[in-house]
Amino acid sequence: MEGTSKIVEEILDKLIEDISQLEEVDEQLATEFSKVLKGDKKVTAQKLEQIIYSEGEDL
Amino acid sequence: MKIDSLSIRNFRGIKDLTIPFDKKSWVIHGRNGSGKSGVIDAIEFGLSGTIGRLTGEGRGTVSVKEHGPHVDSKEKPQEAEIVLSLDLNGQGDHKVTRNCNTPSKFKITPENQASKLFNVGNEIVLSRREILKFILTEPGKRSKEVQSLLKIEKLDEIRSALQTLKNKVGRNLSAETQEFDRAKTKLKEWLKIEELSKEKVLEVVNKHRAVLQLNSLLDLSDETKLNEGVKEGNTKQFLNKAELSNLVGGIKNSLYDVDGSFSDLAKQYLDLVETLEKKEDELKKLNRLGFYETGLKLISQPECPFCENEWEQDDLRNLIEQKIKELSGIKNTKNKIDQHIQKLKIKWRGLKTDAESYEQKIAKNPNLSFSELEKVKSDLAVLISEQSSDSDTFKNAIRGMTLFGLKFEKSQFDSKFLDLEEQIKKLPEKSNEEVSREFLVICQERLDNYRASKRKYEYQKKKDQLTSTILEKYNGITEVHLNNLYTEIEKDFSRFYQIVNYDDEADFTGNLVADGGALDFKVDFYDRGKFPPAAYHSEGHQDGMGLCLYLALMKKILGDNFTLAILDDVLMSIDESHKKSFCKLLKKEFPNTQFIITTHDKYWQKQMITEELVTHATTLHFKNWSVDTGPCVWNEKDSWEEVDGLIQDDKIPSASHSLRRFLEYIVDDISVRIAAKIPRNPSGDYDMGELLTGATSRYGDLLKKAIKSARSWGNQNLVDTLESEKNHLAECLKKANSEAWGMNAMVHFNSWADMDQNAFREIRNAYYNLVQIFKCDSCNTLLHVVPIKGNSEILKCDCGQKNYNLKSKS
Repeated sequence: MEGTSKIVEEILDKLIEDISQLEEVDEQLATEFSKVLKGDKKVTAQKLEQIIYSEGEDL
Repeated sequence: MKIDSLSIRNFRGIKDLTIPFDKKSWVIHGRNGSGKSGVIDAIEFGLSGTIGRLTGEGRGTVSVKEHGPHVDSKEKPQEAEIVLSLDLNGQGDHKVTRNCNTPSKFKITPENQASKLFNVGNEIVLSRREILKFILTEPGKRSKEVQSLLKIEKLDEIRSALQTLKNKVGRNLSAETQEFDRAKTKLKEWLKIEELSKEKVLEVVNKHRAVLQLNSLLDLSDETKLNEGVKEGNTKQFLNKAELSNLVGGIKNSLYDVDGSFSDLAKQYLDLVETLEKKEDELKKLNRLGFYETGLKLISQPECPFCENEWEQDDLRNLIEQKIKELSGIKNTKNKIDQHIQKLKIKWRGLKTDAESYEQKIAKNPNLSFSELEKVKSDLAVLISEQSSDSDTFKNAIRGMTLFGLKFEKSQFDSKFLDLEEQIKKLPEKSNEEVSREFLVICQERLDNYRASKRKYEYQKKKDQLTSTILEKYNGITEVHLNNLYTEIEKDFSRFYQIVNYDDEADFTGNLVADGGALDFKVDFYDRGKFPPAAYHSEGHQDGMGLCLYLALMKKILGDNFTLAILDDVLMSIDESHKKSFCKLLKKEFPNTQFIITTHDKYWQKQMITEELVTHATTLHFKNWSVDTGPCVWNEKDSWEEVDGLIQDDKIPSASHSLRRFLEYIVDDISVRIAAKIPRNPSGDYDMGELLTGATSRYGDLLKKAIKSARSWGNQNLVDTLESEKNHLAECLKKANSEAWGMNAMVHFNSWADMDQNAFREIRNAYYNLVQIFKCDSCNTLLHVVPIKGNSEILKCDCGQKNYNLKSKS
């Protein structure tokens, strides 16, 4: 989170907390989500899709 | 962080200059082109490795490495060097050295914990151009500028990624919805029911099961088989007239595009393709978009990952961002084309499925063969498997379309359809048992298809809902936090602006409101409502707003660590009284901040001294600039030597001009120090005679006060000293006044040819002696009054050798 302000961290913490409470989101997904959002690398739609809808999801 | 000293070598317009900032606020004053901004560039470069003035729109190929060095050192960027001595937030003094050969690299000594944290953004250096970008820009751009300053750009990046994901999932949901609707329609058509409910399905199915004497189904779950119990041997090779008729009708409707939906989609697709084709050049560059986006991420490195040469990060970033922006419109059109092709493919797939289904059904009945479907299927397979949505395959297929994007004439099919319809009519009627068996088997097939497409649809819907929820929550949380943040900033902004404009806008307020990716900014206009800053406020007010907003932002970001700000001629459009208020604002609200301010405005420079934002000792006057010398700082010794040298060379007119300019400077300085009135003519320039009269008259009054005070305290020795000084002043003044004609004659080019060296030397000596009166022999500094504002109580020099009490014993 170098170069990112405290405000961003606060917003992301709150988002992850809210998302963790969603029925369809388990602990592992919340953790992965947190890693991507707070990571140093650019957040892309592709990365978010990979973690939110992992392969092998029951159809 | 504060600056202790700055050394500049061969950089911009400066060959060699050292400024002992001593961690104090400074003003650098000089006319336009005197080299002030070169100092600002040097500080900015020393701290960040960039020069704001060399970046941004319209700067083209200008770069720090090439254009940072002095023009005489342009081939030796390594010799363009800046050395900054810094106090890193109370962690001791550190020296930062940087040269133009490798702008992004710097050396910091000593290396310790504090030096590791040395990381300065460009935001500490502020020019008028920078402050206006917060005020006059459109909301989207302002949001980016402010977010960049607040280091919250990542919020926009995440919002953008979530939005892109939502769009993608939305497109997939749309495709699955169509497939699901199609499967549902097929099932309903087979069951001949309007509404697909469990009861209705069971009602129809159980009638057929009853014909076959099979038990009724009581429930319809995901595992229920409608044809349970139907003997396998009896399920083969149905030739159901209704089903065949239904299939042939479906194929015909699709091929002939009876409802026109295919034609509509095709026309929209071709319009979009045509739009894209008009932008052929940009289209060719579209495949570079990913390259640009990846490149943008790599600019965080100091050098190119391919050739490992240093690059100008800001220039390159701006260039790439501009290219990405140019290509995004093309990308949007291309996305729409993709969406249309997806929809067309769904229709093509449906026709192909119907065609395959028909062929399966009539496999053992040659009378019902439909050989033309082979070619249709093969053409459809090509279209369905084509990946590129704007490929020639699609364009040609749809442009040359006769039937459903396929190159067939309608007449090829008309007679075939008539023939098939006749053949189907002739098929023998089935027994009730056969009909029911066929019905249940096909019904199960259609139910399986319905269930599969429903699962896919529900999965996409779940994805869509989860993405929407996350995006909604993200936007909500971000909006609350950002608006709280902006509320805090706008409070400080409004308060700062009120302080500066206390005389006419004491109730002023401004509003910063985050709205998605934009940041709206509106300000109060004399109780008439809130408007964009540029709507009604003057340029001067806009400048003021810019600085106030910047200060409010920096206060929020850095708090007590806002210890350094470089303001490069930021208030040029603001009038004198408001500039004075700014001095008060900076001094009162930011007592721990070192301000380094440049200005060409001599009155504001004086205001900064009288308002005690800076002192005489922390004021740097640039006299002039030349490419060889760089900026020349006013210096009394040098100035007298310059005049003497010109007299020696018999350059009397030049000597008189140098003397005149120096006297204007020094008498002006004396006037500020002893709080003498400074007269100005309507053009804003000085009248030298009045300026000198004001200073000598004030000094005479101060000496009289000092004599009166010394008498009241019974200090006769001091009275004698002061009386002597008073008399000396009168003598010098008399002599100077008597020589003033000669000075004026020289300056105005009158009869200069008649004045010889000795005659002008007399003039020079008269003014030299007069100036010395205002100085201390011991420390050589000019005397000044204390306090500098209000009633003067003491007249003194810097060393205290001369220290005259001006207050009499009461």
